[in-house]
Amino acid sequence: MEALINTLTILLPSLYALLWADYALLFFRNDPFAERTAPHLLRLTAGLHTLLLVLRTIEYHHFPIATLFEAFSVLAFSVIVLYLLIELRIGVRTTGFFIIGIVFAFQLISSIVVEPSRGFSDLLLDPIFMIHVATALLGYSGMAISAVYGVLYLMLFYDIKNQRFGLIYKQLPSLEVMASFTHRSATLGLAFLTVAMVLGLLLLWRVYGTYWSWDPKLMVTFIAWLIYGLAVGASRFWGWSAKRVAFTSIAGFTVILFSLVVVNLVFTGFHAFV
Amino acid sequence: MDLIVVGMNHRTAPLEVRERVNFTEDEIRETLEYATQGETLAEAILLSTCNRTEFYGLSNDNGTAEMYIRKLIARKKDIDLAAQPGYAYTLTRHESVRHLLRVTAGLDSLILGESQILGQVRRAHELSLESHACGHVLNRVLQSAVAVGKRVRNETQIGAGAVSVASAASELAGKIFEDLSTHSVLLIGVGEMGALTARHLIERGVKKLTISNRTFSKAEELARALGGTALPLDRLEEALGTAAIVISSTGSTIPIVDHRTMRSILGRRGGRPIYIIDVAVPRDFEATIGRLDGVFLHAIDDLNVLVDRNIEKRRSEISQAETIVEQELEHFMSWRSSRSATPLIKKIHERLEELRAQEISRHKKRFCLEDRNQLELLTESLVKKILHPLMYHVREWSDESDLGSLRIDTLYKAFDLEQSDENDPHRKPR
Repeated sequence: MEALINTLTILLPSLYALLWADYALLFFRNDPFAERTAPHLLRLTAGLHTLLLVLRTIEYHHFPIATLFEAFSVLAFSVIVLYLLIELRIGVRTTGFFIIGIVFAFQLISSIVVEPSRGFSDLLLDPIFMIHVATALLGYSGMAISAVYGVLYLMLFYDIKNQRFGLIYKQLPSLEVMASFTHRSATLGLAFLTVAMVLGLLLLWRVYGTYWSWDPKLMVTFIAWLIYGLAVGASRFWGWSAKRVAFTSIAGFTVILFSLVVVNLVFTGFHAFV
Repeated sequence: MDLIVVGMNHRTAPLEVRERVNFTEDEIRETLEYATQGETLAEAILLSTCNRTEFYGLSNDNGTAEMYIRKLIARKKDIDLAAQPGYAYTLTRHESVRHLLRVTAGLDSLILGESQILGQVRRAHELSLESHACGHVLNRVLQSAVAVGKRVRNETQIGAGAVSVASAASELAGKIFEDLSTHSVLLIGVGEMGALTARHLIERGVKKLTISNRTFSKAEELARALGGTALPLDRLEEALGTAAIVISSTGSTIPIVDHRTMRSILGRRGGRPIYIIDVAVPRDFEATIGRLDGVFLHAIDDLNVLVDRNIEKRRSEISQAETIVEQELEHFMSWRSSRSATPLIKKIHERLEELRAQEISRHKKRFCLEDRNQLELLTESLVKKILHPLMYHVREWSDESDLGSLRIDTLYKAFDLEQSDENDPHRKPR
């Protein structure tokens, strides 16, 4: 089984690279071959990624989130699954190039550095902990997608304002669609992250007997949660424009990236295993 | 029999002449029925649009046919074509087919790549069929033309993108708002350009249209024509607070909405974007309004940027479209040549020779050497005797239109022969 895991670990970034290239052909050239193959390749890649995560869970007896790099792979997986659902829903493939680029980067980082974690905390077997991590990653995925659509929204926004009718103008769906996905993905991400944080605080109380800790990751995630709460709430209650929501979503995701990379690598705390 | 077209279009004749030679559908039916009753034309099609009137015919003598068509148009439309020789053009044989293919592709249109012509060519075909003026050959020409029209629009970008200010504004509105039927449009002024832009937006699905004008009765009149509601101009600010798309085309010499007013209106819109299409000259909205958040403001020059870009893009597709025209022309000419006598006679001869050789080879051992020579002579003579009346009839049929073509088809089938264009591996299915 380990051989299969290793093969898939090497194969996946290649598949994501291929998928990214396919979506690039679709975006830049409207290539009919890419148009035909991209949806199938997307399903195949998502399917093999599911298989890899299942195999790793069976082989190492825990969900593959014991290291930062395993978490990156799960993050790539949840983004691709959410994107697959979006593509099925709107039928527009021209935004795939941007989302899959991020997924490819996540999986590449994961595959290059990943190592099987044989020693791990008992917490990894706790169902509440599993849900805490899964919802946190789904939250991050929703926010990543929201930020990508936010960037695309702003690119098209300024192109239309400044009469630049190039590739972005030609290929992207309407601003309204982009604004809707920025907002919906942010709302979804916020909901998952809220569940993750509530469960995290519950675990904190069970393990350390306290509801609060000045753990760096908790602090940074809390800031991201506040930013996304502001984006979603201000849009709903204060009539914030889609442009402001897009900027806020990008700011929130920057904080999450900081949380995932810098906080995990530099600071220590009880989140050290994720 | 040869093909011929006599016509005039937007390049050769001015509008007042084109208006005079324009045929209604009833006139087309009547003219085609009349034209094909005589000896000169075996088949005919009349294409009449606002930009062209073209009479396609199939005849034995193109010189006579040209004179006949010119006289027919002159008589029906009471116009002396001989007085202005440059107005009408005549093309014959493959040039006339190429012309129709180019016309259907939108390559000869006033607006390059426009798609309306494809429907007009289809309608001309229907009218000819209804008038029993469309035979085997012109039917095939029209099929090729429609195939070109479809291929050019599917395989190239020649018809893509808005190429008028009004359609560019409507395209941009669709790039900002996904579903225009859920958004309201405010038209300020009753200028022609504004009304035209509103019509384009209605075509794209807009359902709620409000028209505001200084003279209220004119707003009411246009509202009735476009299916909207009229609003007094003193309620403009209120309307700007709710409309998603605003088209402005007043004759005002100063801006009717300034930066400060618009900023205060935006405060009441709750973050909802507004798209302002200012086609008035001088402009109705202060240019700095475009810098406000949530406002997309395009004046006529901004829209022309998109129009120019799209025209350029269409032009870059011409060579690809011309290639498709040439491919279909080649298929047609190949089919047409298969209708002529020579290739068919040649193929029948080859087929009979093949059968003769097969049979001789199968039975020659039953004959002595001397008899074999006799057998060769006898069978060769038999083939010639079968072929001789066939050659006579095939030559006769190839000069006829419908019935002759059907008979030629039957011969191809009877002798199990292949027709060249249908065996072309590059031929795309229609």
